[in-house]
Amino acid sequence: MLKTLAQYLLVGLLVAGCSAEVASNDSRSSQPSGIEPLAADFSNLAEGEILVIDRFSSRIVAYSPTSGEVRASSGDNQFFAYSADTVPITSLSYGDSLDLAFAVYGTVNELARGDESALLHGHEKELIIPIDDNYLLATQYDIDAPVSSRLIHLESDGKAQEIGQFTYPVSDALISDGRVLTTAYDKASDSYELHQAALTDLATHKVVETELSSGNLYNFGGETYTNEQFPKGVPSEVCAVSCVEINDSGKVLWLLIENDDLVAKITDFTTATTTALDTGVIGFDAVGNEVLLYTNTGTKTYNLDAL
Amino acid sequence: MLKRAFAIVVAASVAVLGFATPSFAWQDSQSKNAVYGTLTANVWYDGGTTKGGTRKWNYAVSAKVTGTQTVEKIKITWTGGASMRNSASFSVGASGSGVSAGGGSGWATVQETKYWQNTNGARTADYSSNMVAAPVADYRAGTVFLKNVAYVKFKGDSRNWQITASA
Repeated sequence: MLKTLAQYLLVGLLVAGCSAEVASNDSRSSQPSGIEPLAADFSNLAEGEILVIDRFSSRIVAYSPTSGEVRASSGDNQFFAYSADTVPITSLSYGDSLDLAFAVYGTVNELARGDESALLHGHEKELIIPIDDNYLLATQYDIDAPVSSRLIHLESDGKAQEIGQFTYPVSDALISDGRVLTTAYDKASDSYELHQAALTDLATHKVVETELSSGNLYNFGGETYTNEQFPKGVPSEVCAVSCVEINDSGKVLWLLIENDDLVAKITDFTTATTTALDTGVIGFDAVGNEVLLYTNTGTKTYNLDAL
Repeated sequence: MLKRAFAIVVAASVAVLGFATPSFAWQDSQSKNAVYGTLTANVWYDGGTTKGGTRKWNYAVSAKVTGTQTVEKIKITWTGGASMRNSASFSVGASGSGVSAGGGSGWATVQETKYWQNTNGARTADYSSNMVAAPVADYRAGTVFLKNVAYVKFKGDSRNWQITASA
């Protein structure tokens, strides 16, 4: 009888063991249900949702200002958005890295309205990047490499006028005091050259510096910075993820990865003081004196004068 | 004889418990031609274990790019989540992080997103940690997911590239 009892116990344990295995088995027959992806043409924007530039990825996402919920598009399209290192955004370009059919819009909202709201379209195989409130850099691609660039002036009424051309592909450009600064990548030395030209005649460009490790150009608080050599006291990583100057104020809003999360900070370039603002920040903008942070719990607003 | 029966039961329990931990894993790998090289996004997580009322999965995400054009930035953004209820929490990162479900008894998708980038010329970006659903009673079995978007930008070319892997 004890033998039978043992046998029953054995069977019981085996059955219990199998049940435990099934319970711990995350078997599923299909992809888990989740949130509906943003349509490629933005046609499924929900009520209350806005389009914003996700600053970490340079992709356009749907954002809920109240809940902070983000919906990205699915698929392997290579659409990215570019805007100048300033807020408010006065222009943004949008295009696919493979197709290179770029269009420029005045605001992100206009992007949602579709192509007829575009201020201008680039040439075929041309990548366009806004470099400040009034100028765009358009780089021509031949087969699969950038070959030359042109400078476009964008009027406040949306009219565009080509200013001139560079015979080399420009990495970044900055206009200050009637001069155009450009950087060009030299593959052999894996470094950048800095060129300077008169805005009235781009053909006057000459090399003013070589062997820069970074091709990025910034103008914050009226000062131009090359090679990310920021003033003493300004964190060196201020532009490692994304950085924008607010309203010509000399105050720069930027993102940092901390504990694998995106943190927004603001640095006053004139006083070299930095303040942390929020975590989970995927994007930002400014309206007048109000700074808007698009966080994963909703939009947070700050008064620039208080920062 | 009772001793022998007991020994059989103990041996049987050890044998059964030994097989109770699943040995499979969920994974995905997707690649995209990014002109100067191929960009690949990877996700992996194990079958999960339940212990002390929580369910935990080890996971790894990565981005890799081939070729020789210098990489200016290689980035990963990963989102892990599950169907949860009753204010239960789901976390993808270090302890202390995590997102809570609403207070209702209905199931809702809860997810958390993390970020990492390398700007030192590295051709890969990797991260591994745990996903944790707690308490396991408020985790809907079979709903865990992990998505990883890989991005790359090369020096000398302003274009960005992206590809997503998910499982």
